[in-house]
Amino acid sequence: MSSELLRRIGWAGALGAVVLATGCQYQETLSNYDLKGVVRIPKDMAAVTMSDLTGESWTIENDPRAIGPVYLGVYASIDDSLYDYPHPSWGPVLDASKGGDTYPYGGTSAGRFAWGCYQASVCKTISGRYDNYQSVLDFFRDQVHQPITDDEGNEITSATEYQERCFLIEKVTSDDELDLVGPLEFEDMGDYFEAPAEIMHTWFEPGVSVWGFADMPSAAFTFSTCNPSGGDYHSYYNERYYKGTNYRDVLNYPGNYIGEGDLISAVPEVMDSPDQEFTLELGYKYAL
Amino acid sequence: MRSETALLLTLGLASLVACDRSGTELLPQPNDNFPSVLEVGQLQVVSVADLSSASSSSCNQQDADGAYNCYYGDLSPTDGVTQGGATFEFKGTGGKVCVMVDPEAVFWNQFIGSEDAAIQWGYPDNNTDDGDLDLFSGLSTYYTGSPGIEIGNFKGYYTDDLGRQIAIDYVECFNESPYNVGVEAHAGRGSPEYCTIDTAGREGILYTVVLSTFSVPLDDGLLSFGSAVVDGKCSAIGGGVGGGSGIDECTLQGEALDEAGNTKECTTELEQAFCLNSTESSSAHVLTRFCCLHPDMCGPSDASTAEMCANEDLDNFCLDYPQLCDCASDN
Repeated sequence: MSSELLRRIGWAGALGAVVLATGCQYQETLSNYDLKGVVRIPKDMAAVTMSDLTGESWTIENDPRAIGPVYLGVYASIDDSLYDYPHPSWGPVLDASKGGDTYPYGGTSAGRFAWGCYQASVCKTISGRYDNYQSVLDFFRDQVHQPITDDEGNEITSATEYQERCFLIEKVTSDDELDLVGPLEFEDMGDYFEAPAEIMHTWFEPGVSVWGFADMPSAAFTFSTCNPSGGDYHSYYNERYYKGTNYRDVLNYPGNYIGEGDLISAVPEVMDSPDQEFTLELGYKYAL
Repeated sequence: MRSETALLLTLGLASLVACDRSGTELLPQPNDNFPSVLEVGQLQVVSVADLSSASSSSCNQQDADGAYNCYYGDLSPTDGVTQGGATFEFKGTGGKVCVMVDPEAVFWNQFIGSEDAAIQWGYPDNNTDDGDLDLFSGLSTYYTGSPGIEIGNFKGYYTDDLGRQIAIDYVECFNESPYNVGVEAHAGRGSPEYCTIDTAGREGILYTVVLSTFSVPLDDGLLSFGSAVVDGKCSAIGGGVGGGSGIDECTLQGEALDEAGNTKECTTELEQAFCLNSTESSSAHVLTRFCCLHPDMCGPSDASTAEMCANEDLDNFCLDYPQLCDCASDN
């Protein structure tokens, strides 16, 4: 091959590279942003009244471990006329039993259902609420009065035994691989519990409203947004059951899940810029 | 330099040879005697008992209002650019109704494997006689097409308070098929599709059903189908021949039609052999024996099918399955 041909091939290659490189300047100009802020819960609102089958009742106070998943959504607008509390506006009602879809622009949650390695914990343990296994055991024994038990009904008293069970069942070798224990989301800010929140990759239009609610536990420590027949399936010898997860349309139809004791943002945060940091206070406690 | 130029020219010419093939021979040509977009009209909501007698001869009967009891028809392929298909309407009963369509006769995957199952489904299917229609349905008010002229959909738009347009699919028919019961999906070639629609609060309100052409048989370029609307939910409808549960290939039979609108010879028996093959013992080899006796109804014959047939008990087929025998004995 002559040197002249080689030189021409070199020029052609360089030209091709320049043409290809121009494609890298293409901007999609998608209106998607990561919205950042905090969610704030007044401490007095976070108190939960529990009761058992004997009729005894007690209150869990000043304990962020009792806070259920906090659902945050970005919506076109908020409507005060749909429920007894401000609620995202509905689209067309296609199914009267469900109400209208709110068509959220985006959303996230502060804490999610994280299986606690035993059937007794299905739909009861939330991520970001416990920093160690002893904290889980203590909370359910002392505050909820429902000690964590194994699948034969024996109470788990050792944090080490609890950790070993989780490692065995979930096939992990470190706590970092589990949602159950880890960094705490809510920080004690005096009158409030406060958690950072990031609503990632949400469609943004000036005027969108950040709105949310906390699914607080019932008197029996159950959560309305959790589907015990959903999520991953646990199959280990004779242990066969679902690990539980949230219903998939909580942000689309939040009004269908909000019940007694849940905390709702009375005043939505209207966002004019995606760079604006929101502070969402769940300052309204729903009572039937 | 000269040799390199010659090489480049040769390669250029060689690449042009590939352009000699368009692939259009794999597409059926439109048949001017039949529409590619068909508006049937209105169908009655019939009872399950009435459905059991559905056939190409008993359907297409109109009541005083012009509504068909059920409908069997033919579609031509389109020019390849526009969407083809058929539409019909029915009135809501205030309860649940089952909408169903069954295109052409049957299709099966030839089983290639070991043991008895290989013989049960081992005879090849005739791949050139299968067509495919996809079923959609919703309220007629949401239908965007022009019946008989253009196939549409049930997509509408909602504009929220910030001016964002959100596409909403107003389809109320969530398809099932005998092969994916409980799973929302279209069935594939030759297979029935059906869905239950809850018409609560919409008694007398018009629904549109769209049968969207997905593929047309290559052998005759006509996509024939049977369709019906039945009172009650689909899961309450028993299977056809063979005692299978739920809607299957034998719920609507004889839907493979010729140009005159008559059921093609032997296709009803082929459907029944297919259904019995699913419900009888795998060692009965109903479909394989049927195909051995009537090879024109199934896939290509070759040495492997000849070997398969040589090992089958064909002499007693009529005794075992007299309902399939008339057709088989013709050959």
